[in-house]
Amino acid sequence: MSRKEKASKKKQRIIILLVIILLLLLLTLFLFVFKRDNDNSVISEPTLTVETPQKLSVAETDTFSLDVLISSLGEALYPAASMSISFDPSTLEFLGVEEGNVFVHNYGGESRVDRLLPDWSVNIEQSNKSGLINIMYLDITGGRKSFGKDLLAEDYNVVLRLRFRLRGSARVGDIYDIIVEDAVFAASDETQSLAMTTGTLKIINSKIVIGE
Amino acid sequence: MKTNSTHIATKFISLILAVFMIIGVMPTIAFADTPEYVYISASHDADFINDKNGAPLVYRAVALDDLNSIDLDTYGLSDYLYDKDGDGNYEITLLHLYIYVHEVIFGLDWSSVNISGGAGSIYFAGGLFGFEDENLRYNYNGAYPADENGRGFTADQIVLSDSDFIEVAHFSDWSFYGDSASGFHYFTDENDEINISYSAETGKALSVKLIRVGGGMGGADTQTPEAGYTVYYGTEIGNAIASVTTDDNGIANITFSDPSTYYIWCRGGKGDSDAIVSTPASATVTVTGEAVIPEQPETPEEKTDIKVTIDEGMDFYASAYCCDDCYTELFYSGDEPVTSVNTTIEKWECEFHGKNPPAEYKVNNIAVSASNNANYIVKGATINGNYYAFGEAEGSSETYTVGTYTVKMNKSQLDTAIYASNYEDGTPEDITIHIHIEKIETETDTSREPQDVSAILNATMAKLASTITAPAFGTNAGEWTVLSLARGGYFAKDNAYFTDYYDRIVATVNETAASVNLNGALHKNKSTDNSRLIVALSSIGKNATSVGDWDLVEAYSANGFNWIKKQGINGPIWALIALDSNDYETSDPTIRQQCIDFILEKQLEDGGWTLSGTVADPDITGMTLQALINYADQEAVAAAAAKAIACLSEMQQTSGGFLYGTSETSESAAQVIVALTAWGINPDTDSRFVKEDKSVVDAILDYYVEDEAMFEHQAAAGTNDMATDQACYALVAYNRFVNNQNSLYDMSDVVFDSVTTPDDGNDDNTPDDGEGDDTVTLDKLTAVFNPPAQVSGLSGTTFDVPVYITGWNNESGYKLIDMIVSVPEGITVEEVTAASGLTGGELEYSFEKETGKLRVVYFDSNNNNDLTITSDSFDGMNELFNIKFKVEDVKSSAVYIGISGMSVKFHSDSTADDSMIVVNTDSANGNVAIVYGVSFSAVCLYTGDDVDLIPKTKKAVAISVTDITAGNKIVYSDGTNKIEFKYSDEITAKTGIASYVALVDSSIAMENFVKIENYDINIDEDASTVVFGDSNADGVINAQDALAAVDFWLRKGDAPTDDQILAVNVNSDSRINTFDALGIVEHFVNGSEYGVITKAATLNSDNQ
Repeated sequence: MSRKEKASKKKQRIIILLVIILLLLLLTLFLFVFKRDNDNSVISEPTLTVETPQKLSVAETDTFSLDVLISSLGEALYPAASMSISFDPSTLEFLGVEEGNVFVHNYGGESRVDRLLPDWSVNIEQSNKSGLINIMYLDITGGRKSFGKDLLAEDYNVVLRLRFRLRGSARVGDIYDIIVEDAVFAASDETQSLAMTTGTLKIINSKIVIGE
Repeated sequence: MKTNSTHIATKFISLILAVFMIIGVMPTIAFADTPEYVYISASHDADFINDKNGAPLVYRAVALDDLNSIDLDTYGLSDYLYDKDGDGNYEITLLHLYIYVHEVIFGLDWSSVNISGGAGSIYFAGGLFGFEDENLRYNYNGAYPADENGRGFTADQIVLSDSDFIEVAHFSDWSFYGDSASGFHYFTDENDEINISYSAETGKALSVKLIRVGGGMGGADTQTPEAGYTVYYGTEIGNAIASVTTDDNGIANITFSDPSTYYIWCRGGKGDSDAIVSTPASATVTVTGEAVIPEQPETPEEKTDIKVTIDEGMDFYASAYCCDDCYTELFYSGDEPVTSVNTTIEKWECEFHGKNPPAEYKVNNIAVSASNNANYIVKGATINGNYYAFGEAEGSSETYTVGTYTVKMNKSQLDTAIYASNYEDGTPEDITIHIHIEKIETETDTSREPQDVSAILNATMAKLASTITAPAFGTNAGEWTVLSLARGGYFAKDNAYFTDYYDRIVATVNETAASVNLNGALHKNKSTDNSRLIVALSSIGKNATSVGDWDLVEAYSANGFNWIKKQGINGPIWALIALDSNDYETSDPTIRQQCIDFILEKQLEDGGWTLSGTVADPDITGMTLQALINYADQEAVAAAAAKAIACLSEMQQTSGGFLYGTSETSESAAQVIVALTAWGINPDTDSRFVKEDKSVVDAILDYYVEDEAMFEHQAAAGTNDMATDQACYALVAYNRFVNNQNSLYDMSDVVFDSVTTPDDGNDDNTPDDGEGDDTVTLDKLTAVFNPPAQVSGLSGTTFDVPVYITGWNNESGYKLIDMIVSVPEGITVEEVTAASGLTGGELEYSFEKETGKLRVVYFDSNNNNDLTITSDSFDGMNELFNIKFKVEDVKSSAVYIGISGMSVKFHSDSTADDSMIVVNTDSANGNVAIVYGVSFSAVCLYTGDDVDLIPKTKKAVAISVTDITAGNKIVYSDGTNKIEFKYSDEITAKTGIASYVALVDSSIAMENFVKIENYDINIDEDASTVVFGDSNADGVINAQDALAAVDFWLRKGDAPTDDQILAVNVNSDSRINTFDALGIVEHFVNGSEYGVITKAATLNSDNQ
């Protein structure tokens, strides 16, 4: 191998190495940007999540609850909210709604408390009959007791909790879907509402997996 | 030098010794500790309470040394020992002071105090200072004793030190806890510092500011100057020398003429509610200096009306005084003063009664002497100068007929004696006479026309109905609202608004009465809780003798009059109103009379009544009159009422309103209006209640705030729930009066539900003991079953008829429903289904074609469950079944379908009176026209009333169309109006007949909507649709739609379009309001049927 050839090979190796380094840099940059975008999407897009619990034991006789979380809200006030959540009433018994930790405002309320836990309306019997849990909060004052982004925080994002019990028909390996069929955080100006129907409210459904 | 030094040292030692010698001879007391004191007051409602010696407890000094000797251990209170600083010594706390005051000052046994809670949370549940309950507040050094987080310290951890002052307040009414005007009154000095003692000099004004310290109990205190308050002063609390009124800044300027120690004080006041919620205030004033003669304030010319009646045949000598120092005894009959009229004389009337009126009565040379000037009687003359002419012509001798003779005079003209003497012989002669002094009540009606308040009344009722959507037991958002809406006719008595309220009441009564455990009492001390509820229940036709498991009326007899009068006069007043609201019988027949006698005893000299004190207040006087109306045949009651009415007339201000304390309030006017209408007096036109052309009705309307459709408590004070409640039922009372209806509390015009008396053989009005009752009355149940006006005669056509029931009571324990339906020849029954809300049983049915009888039964044969209806009712109707009929071969042009029999059964013993209820089916039938081809029937669902968003010019029409493809486009056109109807899948599904709705001009006659020539049907085009509740027509009903109903009603954004009115007015009344919002919520959450669907399925068609 001549010196010239040697020099050329060396040059080739250097170029290949540089290309590899460049590719690695690009990959790193891509991953960084992608991850950041991904994170942003979680933060910026209001998302209603029905928590997926750990695998439940078929022998589980206690009740369990699923947190319904809201990731963020827009700039508006939301005096009303509702969600319609389906489940299989032959395998799960819906026992009711428990309070979360997301407050509503209490502007001009009679009490001295400036925020309140919302009072959700739900009909347990009707829910178990139809397999559809319809839950609604309505501030009949027209805005003084609204949801607002200022009352959300990282650890204060549980809108409510759904309490269930496994019926005796549950079998190991069953997977039960808890599906949000509709949900809305309603603002008086409907264009500012966060609604599943308009795509302004993302939904993450829950699965209940039955294990040993 | 040594000598000199020694000398100096000697001098110094001598000086030291001398000092010690001087100290040694000084009285040891000069070095004794100065005693340290704390000061405590205690009040009940508006006034301070008295100690065991009858002296008011007002900043009573208690030595800390005395408290130090109290050992909590001996009281079993060792858990509350408090060592704040951890030095091993326990502190003297407010708890020590309470014990001292309770035992030493009130002379009570500490064991009577009911304590709960632990250290740092001690709670006085009753007994402290003799107060019966826990309605207590206290302030410490002029403020709520809160830590930095606003949490209140309790008595066991408030450490006392020298000069601390404490006020303990007890209130009859619990509303003090949340009332914005609740608080403690104090006087502050020129630096706005709260002081409980002041000093002043004679002749120089002491300026203090009266403030109310409010808030506390979890938040910062606020200080509010009290304007227009009366501040009294004197050397004894409660015995005022005089009073002053605070100015707009709460300032009171008081000048004392003599050196002494004085008290200044005010009484507690009412808040947003009608209850006393703030405390009295007091401070001492040490006045020094020489006595001065106070400047006499210029006395305004006070005037009033007095009538003097002189009986016929009497020679008379009338001696009437009035001078600066003897204002209180104006007239004498013989030696006895007959009145204490307070120099406020505007008008005298000398009325000469003839034995045989109108016989002439000759009064020759009657002279009246005033200021030694003889004058003569002049009929209707006004006095001028010093001449008080009582004669038609001065100096003349006249003949007078029976009549009323009037002169006007003021105080300054009455400062010497006035004589009326027989001058026949020229010599004044002292003769005993009868002079009656009373209010002039000769006029009854002014020329005013009674005003129409219905617009304001309707708007107010609409506001109440829409904001208080779920009234419950209580003063606010409870019984008064129900009373207004029921007696005002805003809802029918079987409206869900009332039936749902009643359901809540049943639950509350069952829980509360059991908890109180006092023969059906809802409060151990407040009989008015029972009374208020009884009045409201009567107004909606519910019998108060059977509410859930309890008899609310029996509580009066079983607990006795002592229970009734625990709230003072308020208890008997409201007991009478409640008992008479439905002429309830009492097992103790003396209860009513005890109430009456108690009330009459409490009548004040001025003719009125008050909760406390000696001056009538219009509220209590009004309420008392309301209570006495049914006893006017008792002479004493009639006389008392006449005085009270006169008293109210006297109290009326030129605004037409009434003062409560120092302020005019709408509630006072309200109570007067209710009282006057009960007694048949028109409060808007009767001259006794029209002052300067302002009536009490004018006065109450002055408090109306149109934008909010609510009333203010005081002028410009902002609207208030309690004021609105009271004003609303006062306007109801007035409106009923001008429309010749029963008075507000006379509910003999209400149709009462029958009651199911639980099995109880003991006749003790207690819950069912399973032993059999004397009498059994049962629910009234009525079936609602309206077949469609017309159906297609084509074979195979199906249609649905729902079966509803009114009067259903889930608490009654129904076990079984059965029903027979007459089905005409040519029509069969396709299917019967039970309504989704009906639970507890299983449905069975059979159709016997030969006889045309459909038999339906619903019960649980295995478990014998109670049947219940879980869905919400509309207009009192609950759905039971749906029957799907099928046309097979009908020969006639019309057929009759109806329920021929229906019953609800409790048990199998058919011989027992209470085994079943026969359901009223009188109207559960109808004729159905059999038509071929396209045909229309129509009903009007509602017409707007201009109150809430639906104009009177619009009405909603539903049409049913036979023999078309459901959903085809239909346009109505009569040459003037062109309307595209919207297809309703929901009504179609309910009736089985294609149904459409539209909002149309209300002037279009309904008959036009059944004329086929007025329609254009397009079989190639689908109609637009309406989905009830879907305000934004996005195909989903959710919170956005419920919010839209609220926002429409709140007038946020644009008014609803016609399509939106159709979609949002789901309860099918004449308005869009929060009821519709709730209807959407109930439909969404509970699956409840919208009222508009029920209505469309049950209305009789307008083309029949």
